[in-house]
Amino acid sequence: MSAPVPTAPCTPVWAEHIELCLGGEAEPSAWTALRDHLTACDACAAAYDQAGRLTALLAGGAATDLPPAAVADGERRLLAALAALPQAAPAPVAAAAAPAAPAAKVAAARPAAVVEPQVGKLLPFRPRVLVVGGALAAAAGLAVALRVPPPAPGPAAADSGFTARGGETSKKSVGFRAFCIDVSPPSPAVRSSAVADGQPARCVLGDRLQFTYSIEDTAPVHLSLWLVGHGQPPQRLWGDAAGGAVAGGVVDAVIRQTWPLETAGELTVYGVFGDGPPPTSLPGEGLARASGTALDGVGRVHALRLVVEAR
Amino acid sequence: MDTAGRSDTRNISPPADILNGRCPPNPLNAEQTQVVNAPEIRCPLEDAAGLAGFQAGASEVLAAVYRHHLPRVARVLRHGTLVLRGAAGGRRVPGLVNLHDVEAACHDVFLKAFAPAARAAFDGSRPFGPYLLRIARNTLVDHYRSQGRLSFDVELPEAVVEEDPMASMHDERLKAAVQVFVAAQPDPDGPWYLLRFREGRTQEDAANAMGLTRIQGRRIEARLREGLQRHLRRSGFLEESR
Repeated sequence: MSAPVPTAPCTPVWAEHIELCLGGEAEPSAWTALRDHLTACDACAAAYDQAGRLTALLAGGAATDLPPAAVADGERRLLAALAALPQAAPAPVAAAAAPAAPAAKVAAARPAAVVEPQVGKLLPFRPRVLVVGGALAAAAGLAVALRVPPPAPGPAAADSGFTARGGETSKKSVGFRAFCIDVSPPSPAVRSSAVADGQPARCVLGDRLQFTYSIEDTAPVHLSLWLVGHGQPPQRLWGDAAGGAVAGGVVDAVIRQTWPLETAGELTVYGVFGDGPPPTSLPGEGLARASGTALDGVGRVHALRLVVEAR
Repeated sequence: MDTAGRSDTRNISPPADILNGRCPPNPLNAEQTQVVNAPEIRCPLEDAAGLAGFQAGASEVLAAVYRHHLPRVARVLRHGTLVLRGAAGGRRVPGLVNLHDVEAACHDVFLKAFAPAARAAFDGSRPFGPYLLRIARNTLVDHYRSQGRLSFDVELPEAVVEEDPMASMHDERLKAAVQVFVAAQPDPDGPWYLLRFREGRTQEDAANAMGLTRIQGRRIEARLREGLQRHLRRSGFLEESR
């Protein structure tokens, strides 16, 4: 099927406008004006079609892909349209049944499967044993005992043994996200989420914390998560000093362990993405100073904030 | 990456190259202009956290799902789809002609799939992709029905959406042809291509990086498109790429 042949050429003004939009610099209003015009002008629609398809091909896409700038604008328009819709109550996490066949290769986490022995006060800053079972382990009747190590006596806050450095030019993107999960009956549900270096997640005492991480590079990375708050030295939440390398080339890979939040206040979780195992302790100030960049001898550091409120 | 070259860790929306299953090459390295095969990236809804974020309407999850599934939805809307009708055989619903029609239809498809009620009803027990493609097919059918160009004497079946198996082969050949073209680009077109289309920089960023004006950059880009069009015509792809 071929497009109708335009009876008149696209005017230079609109040709320039198409160029502006496909160049990735157009304001939303410019896109709106273009889309309105394309509906009414066959010549410009054909010009946009041709330029857009060639742009998509140059960007490494298929002939049917949309040009990158149009994808970005489409995403913006979609999210804006969704924000204008009446919102329904979020469905509980428990509705996340085991993935269907194509997804079975993914070890999906189900926060409800966590079993917590009631020993003293819970996290943060208390060494304890968590008994964690993910969906798969729970299905198999298994449980895995993981020990969260006590916070090692870290150097004083003023310790400058670690220095931040910036200007990395060849590292690929890494990041992580946190989810505060309301585990109250009838079924668990995500209360809020936060991304590294973004707005804080607002959690409530008793929620459980769970993380996902993304690593663009396909090489394994040593990832460790460190919790800082209440004037305490960083406590390693996750990541083994002896190993702990995780596979790269993943988006939102789920860390199946969850952590209860039983102290109100502001907390910061640092994700350290390093080429080697992390040290046994880290200075909180060094982490804060390195956030968004790199810590010499340790790795890239990214911070994620949590606000834990009383019920 | 930001302008200082640091890694962008704001993973609100995973990098498009990750979602598209490609690894971007280093800029200005002509030896890395070939498409690198990266591990297949799974749908963000395939894990519990992603699904929960989707149901809650987390914008970063919605954006990730959108970018993950958009290419297949656009392909169905562009190429059309085959609707099977039992033993009676199938009927092909034609694809949309213009790019802006495809974009508008994509918007409609995802708006339906991401509506609060639809999100709440999606429990992850079945994969999301076929569900989206069914919506895409129905959007196509509605489009032609509204124009009086398509009719069925019975209601459509619960969905069989078939993608053209030849399309992916064609895409691979087409991508290879594009790579041949871009690998042969001299300065300044080659470096401009890398900055704009491999690094994903805007025209302004690319122009700044190369010490050019935006107008000069746009001329280069127009030249690249015209050159690619000629190259594809010579290579026998003109009919598909126009």
